Amino acid sequence: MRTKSDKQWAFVGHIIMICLTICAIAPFILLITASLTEEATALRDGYSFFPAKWSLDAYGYIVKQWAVIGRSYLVTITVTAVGTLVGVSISAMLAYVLSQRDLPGRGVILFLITFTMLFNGGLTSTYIIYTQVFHVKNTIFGLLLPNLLLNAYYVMMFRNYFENSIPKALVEAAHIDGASEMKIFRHIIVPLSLPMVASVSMIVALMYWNDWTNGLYYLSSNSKLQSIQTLLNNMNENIKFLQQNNNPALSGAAVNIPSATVRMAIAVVGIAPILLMYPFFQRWFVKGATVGAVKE
Amino acid sequence: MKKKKRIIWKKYIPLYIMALPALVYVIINNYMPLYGMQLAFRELDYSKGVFSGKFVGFQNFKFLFATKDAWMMTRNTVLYNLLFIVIGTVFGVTVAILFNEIRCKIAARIYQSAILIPYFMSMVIVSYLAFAFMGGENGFINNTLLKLLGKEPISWYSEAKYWPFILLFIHTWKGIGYSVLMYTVRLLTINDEYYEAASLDGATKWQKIWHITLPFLKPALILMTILSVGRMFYSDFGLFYQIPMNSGHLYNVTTTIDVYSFRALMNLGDITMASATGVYQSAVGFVLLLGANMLVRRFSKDDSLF
Amino acid sequence: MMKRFLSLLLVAVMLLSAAGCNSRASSDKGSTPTPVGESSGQSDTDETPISKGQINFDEEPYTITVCYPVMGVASPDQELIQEKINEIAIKEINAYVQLEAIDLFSMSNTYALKASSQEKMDLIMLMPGGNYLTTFVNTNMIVPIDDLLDEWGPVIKETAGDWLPVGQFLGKQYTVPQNSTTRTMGYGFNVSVPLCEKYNIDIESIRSLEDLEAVFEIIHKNEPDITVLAPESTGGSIIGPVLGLYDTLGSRTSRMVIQEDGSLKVVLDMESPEYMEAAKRVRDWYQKGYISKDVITTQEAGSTLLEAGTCFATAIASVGASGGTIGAGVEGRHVVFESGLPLLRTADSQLFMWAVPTTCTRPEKSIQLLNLFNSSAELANLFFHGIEGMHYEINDKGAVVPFENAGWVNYWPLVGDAFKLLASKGDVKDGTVEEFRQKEAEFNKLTKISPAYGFTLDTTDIKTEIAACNAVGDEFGAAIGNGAVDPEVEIPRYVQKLYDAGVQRIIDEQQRQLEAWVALQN
Repeated sequence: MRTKSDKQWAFVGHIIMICLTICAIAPFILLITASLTEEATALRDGYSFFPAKWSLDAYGYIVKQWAVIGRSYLVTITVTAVGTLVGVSISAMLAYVLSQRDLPGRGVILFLITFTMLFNGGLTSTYIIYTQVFHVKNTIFGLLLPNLLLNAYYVMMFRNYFENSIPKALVEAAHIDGASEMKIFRHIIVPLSLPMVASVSMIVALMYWNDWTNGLYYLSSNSKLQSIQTLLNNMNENIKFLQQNNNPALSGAAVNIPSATVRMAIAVVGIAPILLMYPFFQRWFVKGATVGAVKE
Repeated sequence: MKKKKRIIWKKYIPLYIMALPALVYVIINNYMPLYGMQLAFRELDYSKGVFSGKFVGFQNFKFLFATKDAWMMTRNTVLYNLLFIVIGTVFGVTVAILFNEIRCKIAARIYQSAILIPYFMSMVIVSYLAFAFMGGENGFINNTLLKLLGKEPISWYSEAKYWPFILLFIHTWKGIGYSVLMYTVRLLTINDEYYEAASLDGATKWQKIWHITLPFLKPALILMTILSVGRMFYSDFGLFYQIPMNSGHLYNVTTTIDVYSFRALMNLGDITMASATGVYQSAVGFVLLLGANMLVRRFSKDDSLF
Repeated sequence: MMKRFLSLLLVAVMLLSAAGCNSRASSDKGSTPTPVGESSGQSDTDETPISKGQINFDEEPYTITVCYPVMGVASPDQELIQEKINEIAIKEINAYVQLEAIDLFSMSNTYALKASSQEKMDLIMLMPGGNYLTTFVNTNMIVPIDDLLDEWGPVIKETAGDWLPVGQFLGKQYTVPQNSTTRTMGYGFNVSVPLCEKYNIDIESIRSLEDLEAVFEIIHKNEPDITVLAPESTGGSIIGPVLGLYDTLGSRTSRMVIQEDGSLKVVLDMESPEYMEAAKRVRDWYQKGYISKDVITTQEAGSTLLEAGTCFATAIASVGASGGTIGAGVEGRHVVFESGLPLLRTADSQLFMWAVPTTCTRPEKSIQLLNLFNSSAELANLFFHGIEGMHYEINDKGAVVPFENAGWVNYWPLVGDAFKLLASKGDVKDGTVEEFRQKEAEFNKLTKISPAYGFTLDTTDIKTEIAACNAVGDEFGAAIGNGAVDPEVEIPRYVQKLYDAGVQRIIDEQQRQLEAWVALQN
C-alpha cells in the first residue's frame, strides 16, 4: 500500500530524474543537430540547437564511403556479439566458482585475478604473445581476444552479486537434490541474476563496440576486418596528428580531412547501433525476476 | 583419511572445470605477457631484441619525479579520484534509491535509457559538445544563458578555478547511468516483504532506507570502493586530456599522471618511459589496494576482496 | 543460425590467411645473406662473389617489404599497384615488392611493435623523419647505409645530393631523405583576395608588419563578424611569421644566433628581445579583437575558416612558389616579409626519410629498390599517382588530374626524384608545368641555408629535460604565441619554469654538440 510518504519520495524521484534526463539528452540532441548543420554555418556560428541552415552533406560524405563502412559494421557486430556472449559466460562461470566459500585454493585464485587488475605486462609483450605464439594477427581472433574477453572487475562484481543477492537456501537445496554444478549454474544462478547478467553484458558489449585499439594493432592497414570504431578513430587521430605536427608539407593531406560536421555525423553513426540495441537489454533491468523464490 | 580427500576433490572438480576457460584466458592474456614489465628498467636496443637492452635500474622513472610538476600531477590525480569516489558514490546511491521509488514503469524506463546515453559517448565527442557549451564566442552558455541572465561572458577555457567542478560534473554526468544501473540491479533483489514487515512495525521511510536498503548495498559499495582505491593513481585520460582542449591555462588544475606522461612522451616516443609510468601506477595502486583490503578485512571479513 | 554464420566467418578468415601465407610473398630461403654494412669506415670489402654494383639474377627473387605511411587505411588498389611495381622490379633488381601501409599517427608504435616481434620489414619510411632519426639510431632500430649507398645507390647519391647530410647522425649515413622541388617553405600570411578587393586593398603594397596592421584595422572596422587573423592550423601560433625564421637546432625552446665573428651560439629563445617584442605585437592584435578569443581551443584550422570566408588572414608556415591558395572556396594570396623568407634547416629536409631496419636480412636489396625508384620515373610516378587512365589523367598542360574516388591515393611524394615526377594540377593550377617549375626555381633562390644545416641533436643524455620542457612549452607556448595572455607577465614565468625544468642543460648540450659538429665539418 502506498503511503503519502511513498508518494512524496516518488515525486522527488521524478524531479531529479527529469533533471538528469534533460542534462543527458540535451547534448545528444546537440550532437544530432550539429551533424545536420550546414558546414559554413557551423564554422561561423558554432554548434547550436537551432542552426541557421540545415544540410545532409555530412551524411552524404559517409554514404559515399558506404562499401567500407558497411563491411566494418558487419565485422563490429559479429565481434561484439561473439565477444560478449563468450566473455560474459566465462566471467560468470568463474565468478560462480569463486563464490563457493569452501573451495580449496579460492583465496589464491582470487589474489591472482586481482593481481591482473593492476599489473599489466604492457602492449609490447602482449602483442608478441598474441602474434608470435598464437598467430592471431589479421584474424578475427585478434579483435576478439586481446584484453576484452575477460575483465577481472566484472568477475568480482558477479561474484559479489552471487554471494550476496542469491538466496543460499536455493543453492543448498539443489545440492541436496544432487544437481550438478553446471545445472545449478544454468537453471538457478543465471535466471536469478538476469538483471546483473544483462547489465554486465551491455557494458561488455559496449567495450567491444567502442574498442579501436585491437583493430589498430592486430590488423594490417589493408585488412578487410577493420571495425567501424577503428576506421572512425583513425580518422580523428590522423587529423590530430597533422595538427600537432603543424607542418604544411604534411598537411597536403588535409584536403581530405572531414570537417567538423562530418566528424559529428561519424560520431552519430558510431553510437546509433548501440543505442538501438539498448532497449533489447533493458527489459531485464526490471523487478520481478527474482522475487518470491524464497519463502522466509 | 583417504576417503575424506577423495570426496572433497570429486566434489570440486566440476567447479574447477567450469572455471578453466576463464583461467586459461587469464594466463594467456595477463600472466604470459608479464615479462614485458622489465621494459621499464631497461634501455631500448632493437638489435639485441627488445627485452635484452642494458639494465638501467630506475633511470626511466626519473622524468616522473624530476620536475616540480611531478608533485602537482600526483596531487591532481589523487584528489580528483577521492572527489570522484566520494561524490560519485553518494550521488549514485541517492539517485538509485530515489529512482527505485518511482512506480510508473514507463517513466522509469525512459529515465533509465536517457541517463545511459552519455555513457555510450566517447570522450572525444563529449569534448566537442563541451566546447559547444563553453566556447568563448559561440558557446551556448555565453551566447544564450549568460545573456539571458544579463551577465558577462566568461572565458571558460582560461579560468582554472572552475575546472574541478566542470570535470566533476562531466565525470558524474557520464557515469551516472552506469552507477544507477549497478545499484538498481541489486536493489531489485530486495524482497518487498522486508519493507512490508518494516511498515507494519511502524518504520519511517528514512528508517527503512537506513536499515534495509543500505545494508543490502553495502557489499557492492565496499567492493567498488576497494577497486577504486586500487586505481587511485590512474585517471580517465579522455576526461583530463580531451575535455580541457589542451588549454595551457588549465594545466595546473587538469594534469594527471597519465596526461603528463602522454604529453612528455608524445614527441620522444620512448616506450621504456611509458612502461615506467605504468609500473609506477601499478605498484602504488597495488599497495593501496592491499591496504584497503586489509582494512576491510578487520571489520567484515566477508566483504574483503580476498 | 549464429553458429553457422560464425563458422562460415571462421572458414573465410582461415582461407584469407592461408592465401596470404602461400603467395610468393614469403621470404626466400636460397641465397646467402651478404654482410650488413655495419662496419663502416672500411673501404668496400667485397666479401660476396658479386662484383661492385652488379645484381645477382641467378638467385631466388627476394621479397622486399616496404612500409609506407597512409592516412587511415590502405587504398583499395594497393594490390594492383604492387603488381605493376613488381613487373618492373623483377626485371631490374630481381626482387618482388610487398607494400605495407602504416597508419601515420601510430607510426611510432607500429614500428616499435614490429621490431619487437621481429616482423619482416626491409625498407621503412620515417615521417616526419626528424622525430625518429636520433631515437632509432640510439636504439639500434636502423642500420648505417654508407657502404650500401656506395655500392648500390649511385642514383640515390645524385638525386638526394644536397639533402643527404640531414640523414646523417654521429658521422654516419642512416637514412635517405626524399628531395622535393621546393627546397623549403617560408613564413608569412595568407590573405583573402575577395576581401582585399572589396576594400580596395592592394596586396602588393603590403611591405611591412605595420602595413599589414593598417589592413587589419580596416577589415576589423568594416567586418566585425569576421575573424581577422587566425593560425593556419589548430594548435599553431600566430607569432611565427611575426618572429621570423631561425634555427632551433632540434629543440622547441632554443634559438641559434650567428655572432659577429661567425661563430654560432645557442640561446634560450624565450629570453630573447625578439620574442618579447613579437609577443607584444600579437598581444596587441588580440586585444584589438583581430584574433578570436577561442583561438587556443578551437578545433577548426584557420585555413578552413579562410576558405569558408569567415576569416580574413592566416599566419602560415607554408609560403611556397605558388604564391597563394586556391581551394574549393576563397582564394588566398601570400604576403611575405624579409624575416619570413625560407630558411633551410635540418628538420625541414627531414620530412620524408627512408631507412633500413636492423631486422632486415638483405639490406642491399632495399637500397637497390630505392635506387630503382630514383632512376625510374615510371616507377616513381606509378607509386605516387597510380595508373594513368585508372586513377588519373593528364590534362592539356601536362599536369595530373586525379579522378574522384580513385582506388589509389597517395598524398605525399614518397619515392623517386621529385623533379622526375609528374606535377599535379593542384600545384600547377592553370599554368603549364614548365612555368610552375620556373616559379619554383626562382623561389628556391630566395632560400637561405642555415649554417647548422646537417646538424642533428643527440637527445640521449637530455631526454628527461626535453620531456619536461616540452610539457612547459605546451603550457605556455600557444597562449603567448596567440596573444591570449599578457607577455610582460607570462614570459618571465615561462622562462622561469623552463629553467626549473632544466632547459639550461639542453642549451649547454646543444652548444657542445654544435661546436663538435662544426669542428668535424672543417
